[in-house]
Amino acid sequence: MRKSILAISLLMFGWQVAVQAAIPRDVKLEIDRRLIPAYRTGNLETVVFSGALIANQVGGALVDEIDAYLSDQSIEPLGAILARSRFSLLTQSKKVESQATVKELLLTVPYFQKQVQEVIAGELRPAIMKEGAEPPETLQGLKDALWTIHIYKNDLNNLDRTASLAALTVQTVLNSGKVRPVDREKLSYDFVASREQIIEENENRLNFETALRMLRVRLANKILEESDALDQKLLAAFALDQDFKIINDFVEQQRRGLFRSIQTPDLDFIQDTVVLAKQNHPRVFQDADLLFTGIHWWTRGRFGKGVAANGLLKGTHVKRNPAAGFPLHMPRDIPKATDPFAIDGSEPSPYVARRHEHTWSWENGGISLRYHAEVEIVAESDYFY
Amino acid sequence: MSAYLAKFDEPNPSDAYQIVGYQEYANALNHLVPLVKQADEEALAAYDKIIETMPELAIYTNLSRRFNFALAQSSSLTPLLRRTLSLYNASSLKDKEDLAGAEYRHTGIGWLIALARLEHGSIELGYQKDVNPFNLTHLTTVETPAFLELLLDGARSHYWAMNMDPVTHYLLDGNVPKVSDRTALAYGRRAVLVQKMLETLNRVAGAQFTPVQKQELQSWYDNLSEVREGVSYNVYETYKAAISQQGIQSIDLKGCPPLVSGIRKDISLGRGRISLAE
Repeated sequence: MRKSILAISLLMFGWQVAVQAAIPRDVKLEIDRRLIPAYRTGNLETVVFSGALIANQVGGALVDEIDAYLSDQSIEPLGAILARSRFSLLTQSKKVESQATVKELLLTVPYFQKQVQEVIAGELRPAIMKEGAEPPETLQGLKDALWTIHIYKNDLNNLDRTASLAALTVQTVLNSGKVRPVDREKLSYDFVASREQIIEENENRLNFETALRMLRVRLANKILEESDALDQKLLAAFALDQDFKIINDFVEQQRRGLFRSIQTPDLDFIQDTVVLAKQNHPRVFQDADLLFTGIHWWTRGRFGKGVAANGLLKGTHVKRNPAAGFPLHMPRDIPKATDPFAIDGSEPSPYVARRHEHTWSWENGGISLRYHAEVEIVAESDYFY
Repeated sequence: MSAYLAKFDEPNPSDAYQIVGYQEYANALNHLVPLVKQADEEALAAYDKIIETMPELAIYTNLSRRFNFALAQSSSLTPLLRRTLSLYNASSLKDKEDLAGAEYRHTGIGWLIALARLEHGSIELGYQKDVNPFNLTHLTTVETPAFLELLLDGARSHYWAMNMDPVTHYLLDGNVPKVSDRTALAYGRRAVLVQKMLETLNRVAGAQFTPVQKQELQSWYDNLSEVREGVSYNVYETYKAAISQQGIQSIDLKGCPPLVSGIRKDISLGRGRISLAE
């Protein structure tokens, strides 16, 4: 028994050594010292720089081994993280230094293609939108369902942009004439045609969302009139306010010619309902607005990430225009605050337990020296100690 | 040899706007503080009930757990860490290490406001001038217990982290080559922040501490003053080296406003006079 365990251990150990040895030392160092730390800290520029460097250096079976190595570290395949990082930077209107090469596209295009195909096949469609699903009957249930639909909307919008960008990039590379015939085939997916299906799915989503909001307006109004529970009334008032604003905006867009294929919601009914509810419960509406708007800002302060210093800073553009500091990167799903010192290997949420533990270390201070020729040297740094 | 009195630029207040949380927590306070000021018991209970159902709004305390003081084996530590561990074990203001993890979790409207006040105030203290620390004139009853716990938790975590940090000791020892002026100023900002936390604790809850705890808080405060002196020394020494270069007409200092004003005061009082080489 002991011998067989030893033999199995040796086999496993030997196999592991073989796999790891197959990744060239310089690539392995690049992965360990730059790619993984940058991925874990959300430094997308470095992920793209380092990922592209690796993608251009390796090929074939070596990519699978790198993916297996990344998987051992609970990280997605190289193509996926490279594709998503490039795309995230582009959607943040940030300049991506190196252009994608053919070798990189061969890694990233299958990722984009898979995502687009999943939408077309309905695989990403939330369960609540699928045929036969019962609509929620409580405010909390409706809130959760609308949030799920909101995330789906973002996913669809992102995929639409992904498809456009992928189509453009692939076309540019194909037109360059530097692609081997065998690779040309791998890059031949028709992203332009798939966009049409994404747009169709988005309209499907809009119809569903509007119906859910109409349902919530009726339920919220009933709760406001019949419930004695103040927490439920606050939730109802905020839901009514939100749904009225969102549906009003949507009808305005329809008036301007957008989303014509979608049935126009009964705005008059909603408006009358909200006006009457506000007359009957002015204090509840006022308090709900203060509470939920306050929570909205608090959540942004707690979980929001800027574009610099691992998310702790918003960037120097905010110095010129403080209002430009409001856009922040927020978690995709509703986050759950976790114990910052839980020993379960999960990412901390929020990503810093307290901002004050870090912000002091921003070395924005220093000494500036002014020479008689009016040359100014400012010893300032954005580096966090 | 001619005397030279340094002139300072005002710090740039717009730096604070670059820090995530500054505007966001200010907006949160602007909504939540008026809300609770006019709330009765029933309303406060309703807010807590709503917040309880939102797992993203939970707050965990006892930040010093990160140092694993409770588990640290003295024999495996460096002399600096061993000394810090010994001081920590003797502290009258330790984390509540015997609590189960779940009890470090807090929710409720008071905790939300308290955290926003602490985070916003901490950024403001480090980067704005003429600050009313933590804006205590608007401190509400519902948040006060949470605010005091978060303040002590924050001050304690900073204090022990600074104690374990070799840079703090380089500053205390006047080891200028080991710490750049920018790093020194950042550490000075941290010392100012923690001192303001301690001052606020004393102002709001001084009577709640035992004489031993008050004495310890005072010693923390004094130790942080020494760190600030170390920062000032580092800056003076850097000045000297810089000013000895030919042709420099003026030198401006940028950094944490209270720290800069302290250094400016020292220089104006003649404690930090700098001489120019002819």
